Amino acid sequence: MSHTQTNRLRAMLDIAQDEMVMRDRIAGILEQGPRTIPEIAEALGYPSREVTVWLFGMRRYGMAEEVGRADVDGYFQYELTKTHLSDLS
Amino acid sequence: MTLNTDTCPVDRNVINLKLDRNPLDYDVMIVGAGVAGMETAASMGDMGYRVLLVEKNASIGGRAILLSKVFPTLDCASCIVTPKMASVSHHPNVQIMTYSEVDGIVRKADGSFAVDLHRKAAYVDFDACTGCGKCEQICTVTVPDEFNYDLVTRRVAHIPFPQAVPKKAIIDRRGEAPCTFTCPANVKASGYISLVRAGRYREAFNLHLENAPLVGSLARACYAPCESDCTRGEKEGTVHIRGIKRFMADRYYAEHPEPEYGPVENQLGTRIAIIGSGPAGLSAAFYLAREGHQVTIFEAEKEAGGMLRTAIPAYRLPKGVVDRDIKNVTALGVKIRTGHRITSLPDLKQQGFNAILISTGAADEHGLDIEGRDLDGVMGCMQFLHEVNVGEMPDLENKTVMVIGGGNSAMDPARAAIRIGAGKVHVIINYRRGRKEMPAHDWEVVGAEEEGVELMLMSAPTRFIGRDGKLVAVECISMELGEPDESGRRRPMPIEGSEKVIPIDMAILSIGLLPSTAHFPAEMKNSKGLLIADPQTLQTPDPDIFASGDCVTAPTMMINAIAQGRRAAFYIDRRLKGESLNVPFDCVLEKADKNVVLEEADHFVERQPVPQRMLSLEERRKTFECYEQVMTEAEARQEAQRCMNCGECAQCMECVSVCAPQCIDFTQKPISRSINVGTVVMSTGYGILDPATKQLLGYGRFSDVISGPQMDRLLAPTRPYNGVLRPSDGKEPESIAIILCVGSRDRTVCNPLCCRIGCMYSMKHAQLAMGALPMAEVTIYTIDVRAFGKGYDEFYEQSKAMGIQFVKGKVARIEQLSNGNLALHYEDQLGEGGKRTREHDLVVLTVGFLPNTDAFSLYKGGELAAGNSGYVCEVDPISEPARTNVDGLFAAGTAIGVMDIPDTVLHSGAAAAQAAVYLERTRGR
Ligand SMILES: Cc1cc2nc3c(=O)[nH]c(=O)nc-3n(C[C@H](O)[C@H](O)[C@H](O)COP(=O)(O)OP(=O)(O)OC[C@H]3O[C@@H](n4cnc5c(N)ncnc54)[C@H](O)[C@@H]3O)c2cc1C
Ligand code: SF4
Ligand code: SF4
Repeated sequence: MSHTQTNRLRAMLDIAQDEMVMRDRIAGILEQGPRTIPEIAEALGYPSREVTVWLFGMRRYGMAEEVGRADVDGYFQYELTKTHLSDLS
Repeated sequence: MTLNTDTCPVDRNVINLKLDRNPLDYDVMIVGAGVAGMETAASMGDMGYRVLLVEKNASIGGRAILLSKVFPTLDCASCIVTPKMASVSHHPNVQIMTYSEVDGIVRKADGSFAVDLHRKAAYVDFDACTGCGKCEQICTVTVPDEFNYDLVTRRVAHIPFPQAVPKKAIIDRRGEAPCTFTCPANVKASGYISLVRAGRYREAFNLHLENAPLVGSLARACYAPCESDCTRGEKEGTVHIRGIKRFMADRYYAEHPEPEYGPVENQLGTRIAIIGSGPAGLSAAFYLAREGHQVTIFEAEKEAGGMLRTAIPAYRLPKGVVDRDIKNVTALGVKIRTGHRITSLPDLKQQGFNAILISTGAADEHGLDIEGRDLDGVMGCMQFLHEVNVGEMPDLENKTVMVIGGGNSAMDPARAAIRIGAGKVHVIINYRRGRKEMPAHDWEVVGAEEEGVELMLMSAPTRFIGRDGKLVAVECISMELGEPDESGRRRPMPIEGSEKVIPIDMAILSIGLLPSTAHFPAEMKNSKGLLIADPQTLQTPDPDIFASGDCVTAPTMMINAIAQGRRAAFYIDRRLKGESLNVPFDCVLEKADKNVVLEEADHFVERQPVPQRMLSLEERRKTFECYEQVMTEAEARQEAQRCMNCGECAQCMECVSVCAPQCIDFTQKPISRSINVGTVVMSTGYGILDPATKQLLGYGRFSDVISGPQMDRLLAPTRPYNGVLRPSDGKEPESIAIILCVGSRDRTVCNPLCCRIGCMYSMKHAQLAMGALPMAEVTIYTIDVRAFGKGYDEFYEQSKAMGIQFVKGKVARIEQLSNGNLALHYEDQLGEGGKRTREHDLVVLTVGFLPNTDAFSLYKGGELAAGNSGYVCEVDPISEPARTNVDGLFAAGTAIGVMDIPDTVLHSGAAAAQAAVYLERTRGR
């Protein structure tokens, strides 16, 4: 248990400002196939809370989308959208 | 321009603040276009009054349009609010001003009100914007999305939300980023940094061309005033802006050995002569040729480039980079006639040029009036550097060189001499003041010292000693600082008897440069030999002749000359097109307030600058190869991530390139107006308490502790995620806790009020969450449930019947468990009693509300009274609801206290009726 945690989370503005770099790195990971947020976070080496922000930024602007339903643990997988993939090729 | 009602039918009444139809004649002004404002506007419009509805946000709809569904009917909030938005924006008697703020309201003797208000600059022409959203898609600056209560990001160019009315883009701009503001040429440093961060290197390069064409040279040798004003410098160190530019320029030039463009299509017949091919002349030529003028540059030297070619040593600026930069200019059709010194302006005029620009720089040397100055071995720094750069390298091996002077132009010959002598040269810089007073950049002095240059401070040469006409030694005298001179600096004074003789082989004088204007008539120059030119237009007393660069300003730096070249081009172009010169040059905002930026940067992670990789010292001492190494792509993007987007919009200009109707307008300014209205209704709504105020509940410390408004967004059809997911990792929660009365009925945060809607909206959240996540458990922690309105108690019973658990007990604190879940510590007041702990994986804080105090500051005609709770006071809520203490000024909806939507609608009806009665009374009907 971490009762002693009093530090505030990293400011959302700071996380937001990384989105333009991180989305390319996330896209690189998703090019290998669909992933859940914790899987992307592990591959990137960044906290999953921050990946959530970047991934939903990508989803909002049409780069990524969810695949089907959540798995038994409650996680969705995300993949690159067809339009984004065709932009890449 | 008129609005195209085919493409945006709902915007018919949304005025774009031209307010050119008689603006003085509104019967009523309503401030705030939420449910209350829209309802009051529609009611009064229906009664035939002319209504002005003012909203500070970019869309009408208030908070209700952001809701998921509404209690207790669970109707879709959009389905309720959107038709209201459409109908009010269509109403023939209602005019709407969005993105506008009231500055002051005063009641006049006749009972009407004088109002000052302004429309904020949106940097988008609303008349032309079609709401296609392309600017938002391409925008490179990402910020938290306040319309989703910061759960996701949006772009600084954005349409507030999908149902916005009007559906128009706005661009957030706090001011000019300090880097961009400080750059003399207004190069959009923040813009190309943002583009590099987004991986758009070609666009970054092209953006730079808009303000300065010599990108490669600047990337290597600009003194980077932008960096000295960079806000990140107040934290871990300034962003290495020039390093990012170097990456961008090197990469672009590697991929594009030739420019991607040729001469512009629309060629004009006008001919312009430019004298001098330094940065000022080249830059002017570039912008003039882009306008289609026929430009010829006359250059005295054998090769073009001015100081870039002849003065800056190759270890700072390789000549291949200068060549490639010059191609940016010549690709447009600019002709450069090298080896052609102009000595007569009339002769040049006679060749039929329509305008002349003098950009001859300042390369003439100040002499030193001491004995032995003509000895072989004493030379000026320009002469020395010329030999080094374009002539024959002097032989300095095993020699001793003394450079006299302490500026940047003393560092170049000193460091060049080290390289020529391949380390076997002893270089002394002799300067008559101290190290701190040296005008050279600190990094230059440090670099020189590292390479082996010795500083001889507080000393000045008194004579050069020669043998057979050749320099063999210098006599120097020690100095001390005496009384301050007229500039306030303490004047160095020689210490008598301190003379000493130092054997040297070469002396290089770096004691200042003079304008190269010898060939121009005296009446064009001031006493210092600088050309006289209007500071705004750079036009000389001869209207056909302009002047720019160091020959006007005295020696400064490359970027100043480039800035002057572009400025001169702008006014020459206008003159040749017969346009007035009495117009401003670049439209620049005020510099963004660094304190605001730094305040926002609290809780930013620490980011140290990417270390600059250098050649080894040994290599530096023996080669003219660039000692600074270029960043890798990853390093450049990492360094760009350190930028804090001080101006919000970085001006990367990507939106401009995609906006088909060309409605982005960075020159837009706020528009202020003064109007008269018959009566005023304040419907400015309410504020939401910052849940972080209740520290022990962990908001802002634990990602899965969210607020009620955030939960509403997660449940809305236009939600930020693809479902109800935990922000910490995107998992569907299995066990949701909703804690009521967070910061309401709570004297510890000075808010004793019941929020009146928390119990109901939380039950709404619980029911909707159960619908969205059938397997999830939902528990509501409550002091007691208040279900007083129509249908509310039934809603409560329905919630219980659905299996929502109600725990009577106040939650004291929340902790995070090692599995990431949250432990709630609460007092069980109904069951077995005592302290209890329960684990959940998502916690929603049903936060209290606050008065929006805007209404009080807007009324300047006296004091608008507040009730005990801080909301606008209704003086007689029972018989005259909505009336305030100011006769003729009314308050509608949650401006008087938080209430639900049905009550807001009712109250707004009352406000409309009261305002109508007032109008009739004051007009004597
Ligand atoms: C999480 C949550 C859930 C809710 N759920 C429900 C629900 O299910 N059902 C329900 O009935 N109610 C619900 N409510 C309450 C509902 O939001 C309010 O009843 C309703 O929005 C009140 O409308 P209003 O016009 O008074 O205020 P607001 O909606 O706050 O509108 C005020 C408007 O005034 C503008 N404004 C403020 N200051 C100025 C100024 N100086 N100049 C110009 N414009 C200004 C604001 O930008 C805003 O557009 C909920 C509230 C929250 C926070
Ligand atoms: S790209 Fe132009 S038309 Fe489209 S939303 Fe942006 S400003 Fe409006
Ligand atoms: S932090 Fe970024 S925008 Fe601000 S001054 Fe530095 S480089 Fe410019």
